[in-house]
Amino acid sequence: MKTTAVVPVYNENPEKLAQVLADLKNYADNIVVVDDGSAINSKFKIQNSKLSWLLHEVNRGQGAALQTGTDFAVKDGAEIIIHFDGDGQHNPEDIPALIKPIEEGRVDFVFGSRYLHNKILGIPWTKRKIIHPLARLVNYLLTGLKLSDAHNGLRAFRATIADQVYLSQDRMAHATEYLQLVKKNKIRYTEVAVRVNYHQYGQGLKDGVRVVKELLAGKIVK
Amino acid sequence: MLIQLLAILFCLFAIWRVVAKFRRQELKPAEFAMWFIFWLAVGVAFVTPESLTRLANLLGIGRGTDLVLYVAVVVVFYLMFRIFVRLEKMEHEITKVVRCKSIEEAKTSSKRQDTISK
Repeated sequence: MKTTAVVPVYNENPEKLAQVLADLKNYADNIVVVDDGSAINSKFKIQNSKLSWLLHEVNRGQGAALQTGTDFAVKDGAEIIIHFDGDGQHNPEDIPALIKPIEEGRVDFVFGSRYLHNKILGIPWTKRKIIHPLARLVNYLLTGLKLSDAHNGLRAFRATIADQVYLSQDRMAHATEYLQLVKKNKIRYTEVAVRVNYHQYGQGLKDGVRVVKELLAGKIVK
Repeated sequence: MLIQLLAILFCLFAIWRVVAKFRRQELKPAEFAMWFIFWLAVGVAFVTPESLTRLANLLGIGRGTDLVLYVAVVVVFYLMFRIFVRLEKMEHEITKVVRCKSIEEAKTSSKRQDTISK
């Protein structure tokens, strides 16, 4: 099956991004990078025949960038779409296991999970014990889906369901919106163990509050 | 009182502007009626403040000025909500435009590369 990795980037380190894309090309048939209005132009540093480079003229948020990449991938004939962070947090070696349940026809949507490994390594204590349990609870209350992880950016889905998981959340709340859409459209899903490398702390409690605010705003506008 | 005189003059000015806009067809009949009645009511409230107090008493509020204050707060909150909704919608519209442009440009550049490689 034709796999396309969608990589949203915003002011990423060009050398690091080039490395991520070089590693990724061994695990995906195509790569769609969506530059979400970065001040840094990384494109000139990257040579990759499998690559399509999309540019948001102005910053619209990670959710918007992922949806742009997904739209392009669907039009380009992708069969499986993978969302992959451009900052080197995700491991391309996790991709075969991530897409396997879709290839086997068991599910249409796969969430990566940091908490399915026997040994949970590298996750900061505050995230493991406070932020992630709280985020899981909020996700469960807002979506009804009980997952072992929350807000893991590594996910994959069948391109034929792309319309059913179309994001309206442009910014951080998109991860929770995927859960809502999967639940609402009764999409078959599973979780697969993945590793996350923590170069930076990532989202904290403040971001969690922002996510809830964005979700509420989304409900009001609907 | 001077305030009454100034308020009446302002209301007359506002009604004149409303009528002029309606004549230039810048206001729809419903909008014209709403603004005409609004400025007329403001004028009446200034000329006969006791009418406002009577209306306030009817609603269970002690003073006419309190009624005006309550209504103003409700209207301001409602307008804020309307602006918030409109802003959110505009954000989504901007995203759509940015998305369309980026996809179109990517398609055009890939076509150009195909032509060069041929």
